[in-house]
Amino acid sequence: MHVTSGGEAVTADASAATPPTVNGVARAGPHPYDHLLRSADLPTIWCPGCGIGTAVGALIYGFEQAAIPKEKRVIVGGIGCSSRIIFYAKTDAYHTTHGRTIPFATGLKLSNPSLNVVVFAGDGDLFAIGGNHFIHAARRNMDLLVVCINNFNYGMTGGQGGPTTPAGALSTTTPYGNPEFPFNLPELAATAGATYVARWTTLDVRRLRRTFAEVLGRHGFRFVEVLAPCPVSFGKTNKIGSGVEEMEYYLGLEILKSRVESTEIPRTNIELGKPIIVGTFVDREAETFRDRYARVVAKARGPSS
Amino acid sequence: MSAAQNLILAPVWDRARMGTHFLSGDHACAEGAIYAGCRFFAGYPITPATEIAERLAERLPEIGGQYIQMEDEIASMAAILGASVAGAKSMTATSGPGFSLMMENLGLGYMEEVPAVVVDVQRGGPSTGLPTSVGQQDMMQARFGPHGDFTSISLSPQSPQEAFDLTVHAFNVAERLRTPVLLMMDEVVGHMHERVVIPPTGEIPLLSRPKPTVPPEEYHTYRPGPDLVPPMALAGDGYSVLFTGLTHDEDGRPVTTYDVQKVLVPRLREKILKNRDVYERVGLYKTEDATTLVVAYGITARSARRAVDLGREKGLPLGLFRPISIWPFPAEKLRSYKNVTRIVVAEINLGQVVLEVRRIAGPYAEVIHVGNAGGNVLSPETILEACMLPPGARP
Amino acid sequence: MSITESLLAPTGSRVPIDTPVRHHGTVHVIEGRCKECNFCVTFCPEEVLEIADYYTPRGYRPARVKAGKAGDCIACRFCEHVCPDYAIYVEEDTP
Repeated sequence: MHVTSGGEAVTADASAATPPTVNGVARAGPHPYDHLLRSADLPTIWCPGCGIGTAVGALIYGFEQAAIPKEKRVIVGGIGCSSRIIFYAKTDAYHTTHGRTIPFATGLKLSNPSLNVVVFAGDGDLFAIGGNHFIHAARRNMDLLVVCINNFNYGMTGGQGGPTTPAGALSTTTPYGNPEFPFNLPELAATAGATYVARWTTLDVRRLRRTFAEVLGRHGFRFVEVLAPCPVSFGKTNKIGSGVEEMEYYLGLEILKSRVESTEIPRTNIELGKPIIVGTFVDREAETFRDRYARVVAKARGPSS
Repeated sequence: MSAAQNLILAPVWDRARMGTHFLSGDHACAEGAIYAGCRFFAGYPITPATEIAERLAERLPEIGGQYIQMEDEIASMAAILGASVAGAKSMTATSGPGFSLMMENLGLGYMEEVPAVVVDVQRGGPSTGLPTSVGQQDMMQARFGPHGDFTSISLSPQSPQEAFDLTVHAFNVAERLRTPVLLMMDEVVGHMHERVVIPPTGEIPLLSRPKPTVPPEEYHTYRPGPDLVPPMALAGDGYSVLFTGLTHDEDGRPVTTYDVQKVLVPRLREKILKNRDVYERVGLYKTEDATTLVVAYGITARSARRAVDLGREKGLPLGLFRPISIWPFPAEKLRSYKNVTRIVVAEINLGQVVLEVRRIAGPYAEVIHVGNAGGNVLSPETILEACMLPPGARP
Repeated sequence: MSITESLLAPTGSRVPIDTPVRHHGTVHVIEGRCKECNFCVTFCPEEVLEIADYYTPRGYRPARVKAGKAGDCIACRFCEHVCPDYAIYVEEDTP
């Protein structure tokens, strides 16, 4: 008999040869991030094997490493599985309507620029309904970190195809195989004007953590695409398997473009069974919207400012 | 890369231009916003509201505020909500087509209880309609635009001066009751130029959203005060607030059940209905002894006033009941006129606010609609004609 | 001697310039949160973890340290980083 964190006693399966222990410790204590999570609401609603929680943990690490004061951390989520981060990360956290995270976050950041605003949403929220807002915020080089959890489908609503579903892939709305080509997100972001673009899978959790730690303190429009398993919808439908099998699928396919090699943006779409290039693709400095607007204000106020 | 200074929350250079001006309704609205403390405007050009954006594009940088032209009206509405949760008094302005686009996020504003001002300078519709001509055809949309059950506040100015006054009032109401407030102008009031007096700073009291009075450990994001308004913690205040458009409990957690819905949605409605004294305004002209009332708003009220005078010259006991706050309709005030046997609702549409008036007064008075499909102001003579119809002449 | 020991032992004229440190950690599982996704079990470089043979009240069999393998954890924390449910963490106790 042992005790879980919720205080519930768990009786061993009668067939177990030895009584179970938790590493010889009777009760496991608080997770290092418990004070940064709305712990009372755990476990999360995400499916077993879903990668969103991993990305959220990486973001929390990034906030801590970048020493962003707790009260300055703001997360804006849209609608969908990824956006549920707001119910678990203990920061000021806002839901918007589907696809409208980026303009909401724009208003929020401009209203109080001392805040560190992160948009955390899915591939549909950011690139289908929210696509227009994405390219304009990138064009403006708005001070936002946009994290896209790309699981290649619309998970929350049951696994429909979306703008990042690979060509030929199956989903509930592409039962004969997707007739459309997906977006190439790093290329789209870079073309629209993003000054930092990276792609990782949740398997690359160490690099993802490091990326967040590095970019959270920076200005300008930063975009990180995170490929995450979706075992219940995409993974199962496309016979990739369980969450861990989807992770192993990434392990087999991803090619890391490290900084010492080229930082060329991948020019091809992600295809089922084909190599996936991950890495940091764009990393540059440019004037942000706020820099330029500050000059507008100075000009409007004249020499007395 | 240097960070631009905090434009919005820093002490601002207050340059409300007090004095007497000759302004259009649109420009007066923009000046009213500045007077009220608005420091964030996000919008998209659309006739006949563009002048509001243009004025604020010029004025907001002067006073350290933020003007941003968003990629569409959907983004504009989202941006002003985002700005508001971080503390700015924010506004957007549009007309019919853009108003339709804003509906979903307007609903988000009602549900998340975010103060904001949305100006609709109405034009002929539906669809692209008459971009440069007047209409008053969005009134029911103002009441029922977003999906779901909610109650909203709409104000309607009849002159550039009132456009200024009601913009200030709209901000005060939005802040006090933590809700988006709609300013339903029309193209004629928006574009006509008249004398506008801007009072000295401080003469009109300005309200701000109620702040939490307890530390974060004791705070509940959506626990209402006795007036049904929850104190609002801002992003960055250290309260780790949780705002969602999903049905939520007092801590903002999504609890999508019948029981929580039963508490939340009626409270949002009651919050508005219970606090009429905060927003309700009615203009009355010669109503004391009137047996026929003309109900009109916006530019139509100007014609209606003349119609009342013309009728009185003929010996008809006419009066003008002008709802300045159209939604929720000032029903009690209307019903208090017990001797009224006929109500003529004059509006530039095929019948919108008349439906509400008929609901309220139909049991005891004959309610007649006079209007047109848009594009022209109703003349005083047209309104008078409706007042003089024999009983039962028009349904 | 084991491979490790042989690598650590000084040989002939070559004097080690440092002493390799083998990190050690104690793995803790918050069983009530575990959803049996197998990420930690699969990707632990020392194969310290397995899925238990009992169920938590939520109906999942949680991860646990294999019998006798508690000493093999090198505190790389991959399990802690990759777990989507904040259900596992490592306390480093390198001697």
